[in-house]
Amino acid sequence: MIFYAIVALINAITSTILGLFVYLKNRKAKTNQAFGLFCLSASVWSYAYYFWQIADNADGALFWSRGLMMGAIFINIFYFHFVLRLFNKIQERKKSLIFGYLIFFFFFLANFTSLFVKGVSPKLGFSFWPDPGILYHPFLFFWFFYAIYVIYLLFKEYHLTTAGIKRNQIRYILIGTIVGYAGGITNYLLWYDIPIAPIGNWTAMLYVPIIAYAILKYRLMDIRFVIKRSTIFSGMVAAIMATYVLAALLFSWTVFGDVYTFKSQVLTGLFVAVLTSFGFIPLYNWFKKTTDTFLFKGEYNPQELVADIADVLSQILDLNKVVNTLEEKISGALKLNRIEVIILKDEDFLGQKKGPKIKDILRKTIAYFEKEKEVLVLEEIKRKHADKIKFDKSFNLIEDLEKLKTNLVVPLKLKEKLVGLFLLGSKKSGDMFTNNDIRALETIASQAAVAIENAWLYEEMKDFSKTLQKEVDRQTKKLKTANIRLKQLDEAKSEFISLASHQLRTPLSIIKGYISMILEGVWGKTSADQKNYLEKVYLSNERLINLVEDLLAVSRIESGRLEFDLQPLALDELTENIVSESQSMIAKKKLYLKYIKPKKPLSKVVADSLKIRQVIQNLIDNSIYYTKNGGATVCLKEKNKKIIFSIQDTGIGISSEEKNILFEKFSRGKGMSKIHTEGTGLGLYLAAKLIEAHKGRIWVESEEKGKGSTFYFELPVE
Amino acid sequence: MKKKKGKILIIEDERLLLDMYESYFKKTGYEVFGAKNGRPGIKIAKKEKLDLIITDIVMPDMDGYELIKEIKENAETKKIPILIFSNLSQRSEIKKGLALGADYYIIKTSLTPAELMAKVKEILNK
Repeated sequence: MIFYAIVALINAITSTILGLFVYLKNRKAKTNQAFGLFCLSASVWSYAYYFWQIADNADGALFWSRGLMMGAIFINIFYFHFVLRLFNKIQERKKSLIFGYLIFFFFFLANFTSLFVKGVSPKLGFSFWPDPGILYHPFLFFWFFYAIYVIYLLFKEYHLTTAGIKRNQIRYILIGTIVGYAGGITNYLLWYDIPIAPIGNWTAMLYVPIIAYAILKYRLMDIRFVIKRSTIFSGMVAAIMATYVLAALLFSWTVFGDVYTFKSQVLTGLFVAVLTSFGFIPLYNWFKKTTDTFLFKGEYNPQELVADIADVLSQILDLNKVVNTLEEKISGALKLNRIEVIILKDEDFLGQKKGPKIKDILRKTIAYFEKEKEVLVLEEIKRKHADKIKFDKSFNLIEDLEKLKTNLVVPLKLKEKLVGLFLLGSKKSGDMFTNNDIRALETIASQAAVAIENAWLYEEMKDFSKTLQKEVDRQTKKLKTANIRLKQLDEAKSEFISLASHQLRTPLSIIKGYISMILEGVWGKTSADQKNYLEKVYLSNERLINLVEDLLAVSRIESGRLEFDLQPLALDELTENIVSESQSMIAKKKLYLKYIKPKKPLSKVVADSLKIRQVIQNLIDNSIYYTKNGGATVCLKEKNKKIIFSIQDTGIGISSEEKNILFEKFSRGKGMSKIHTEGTGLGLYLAAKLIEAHKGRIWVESEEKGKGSTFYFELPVE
Repeated sequence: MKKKKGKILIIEDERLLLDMYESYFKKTGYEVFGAKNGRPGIKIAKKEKLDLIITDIVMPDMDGYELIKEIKENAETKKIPILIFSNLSQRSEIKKGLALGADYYIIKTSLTPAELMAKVKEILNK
């Protein structure tokens, strides 16, 4: 008899604990509430059963047997309610539910009278077994009715559910229910004098572990982890307690001789404390490992998976490889039926062929995750939706995720930005995703986000550098074409100038020829006046000839076709010659041209004498043109392996702005046009080009306007 | 009539220039033959006993260079001194002409006819 009391007590405690766990896990969820109520009624029944068993008088026994009926009356209907909640069939079976509550409430009221439990009498070794009242019989009928009803519903649901987690959940609930009820039924036998003791009570006890198993393995009501932890905890408590008891016993036998003093207690405690301090962690780990092995066989090690993936990802930059690696590893470790990694940046979702509907669903999912960062477990949102606690955005996705056959969606976020998604299908074993799974996946997700971003950036960079290269090539080609065009234009221009010059020369020669002949008197005498004017014509023509020559020289220099006959040249000789040749022209203008001879003969330079002659002539001409009074002084010096030619005049000088543009084409000092209209504007440009072609340098110095100027050029010594 | 100072052939494709030189040389007392380009020029050279050939370079049909070559290859004419009178003033062009066998090179625009005449006298007096 004590056996039944103990069994009842155990039932009571386990029901209470189970009920509390479930209810506290999610107070608001209606499923949890319903299960809590069921456990409450089961506890009430069990506690009362215990007290009934240990009652030592009839009144006590009667009182407690009525008490246990209190629980028993509601067990069935609460369980019925729970199962309806679980499978969301409340609306469907509302009538049955309401009827059930009404009828059992009626029996509840009847329990306060003697119409329900008539009294107690000894049966089969039990001192005080309740006798059924008149209303007990209909109660039993309804009890059976609803028990069978529930089992029928469970069967139906089991057959309707094709696969997956739900099917497993139902299976275990079904088993537990049958076991529980079958055991429970054995209670009623003695009520009707059938001489069979309620041996089934202990199977009722099994109901709890079976449901617990369903919860653990199939995440029913999601208190798996809690139960795991509490198993470890209770194991630890039991172990430490056992140690203490054993140690106390040992000490009392050996040291203290069965005497329990304060001293002996303290010493025992000390001993156990020391033992515990050392042994706690290994013990804990052992419990953890054992529970893991028994309860979670065949699971992967999440930390290893995370480390493994991190390792591999850090070495890959290719986007496709990243995706494949992730899919492989995660699918392999979690033993998934299907997994997909979605990359956001790729409009085509990595080029996989997807129908437009699927793409829409993906877009919806992506839109959801732009703002959310928590993973989405399909079972959970379905449960929340069924419990109707409060509306959540995720409910919109339930249908879509089912279409995608996706049970878990993990967002890959990098600094608040959505980079991709993990879409996980169901596990091959039908298990639900555990919290460990989810935590591991979240860690992997953040690593994956980084890896994907890197791979994407790398691809973009490759693309970019390809595009850049293409653009550079294009521009280079353009430049080359433009360059060729320019060269062609340049050549055409040079040819044109050459041709033009050539064509211009002929008429110029003719004019020169005939005028000179007339001036010589070949065709007869000419008057002084005629001679005068004809000379002016001749001079004008000479200017034209010079211009043509200059133009030709410029065109040749610019196209690099000017030829230089480089020979050793004595600049001092050349200069002296030119100066003496120019004296008559200078004298006509009432100016002077002095030449300061160098003290000793100068080293020779390598130059084309004709060209240098042209430069010197040009400089002398310039000086004279722009000098009204006084004259010019020419000087030659040798310094630092260079010969420096200088001509200083007392002319109108040059401003600093003019200095800058003096050696450019067609430039003349501002205001020059007012004084002298001769000169082509090409002289200094040509002189500069010729000097530079000889690797020399040409420049001008002038204090300011009105104070004369000095032109210099230098040539390197041979 | 004064004795002719010498027989000169002037080959020049520009009509105006040719006229000018011809008339000038004639006035100065030379016997002058004119040709518009190389081919008639060679014919004259072969026919007459010339003292000097003055030729331009840039001419249609047969240019000065070809003419010089032909003159120098022909036994009858190769002894006649040739004076190139051209506007081509590049060093290379001058060298080419002289290398082919011309004896002198003068650039047209730098000389008046009188100056040309002086040069011719110099050559013929040699």
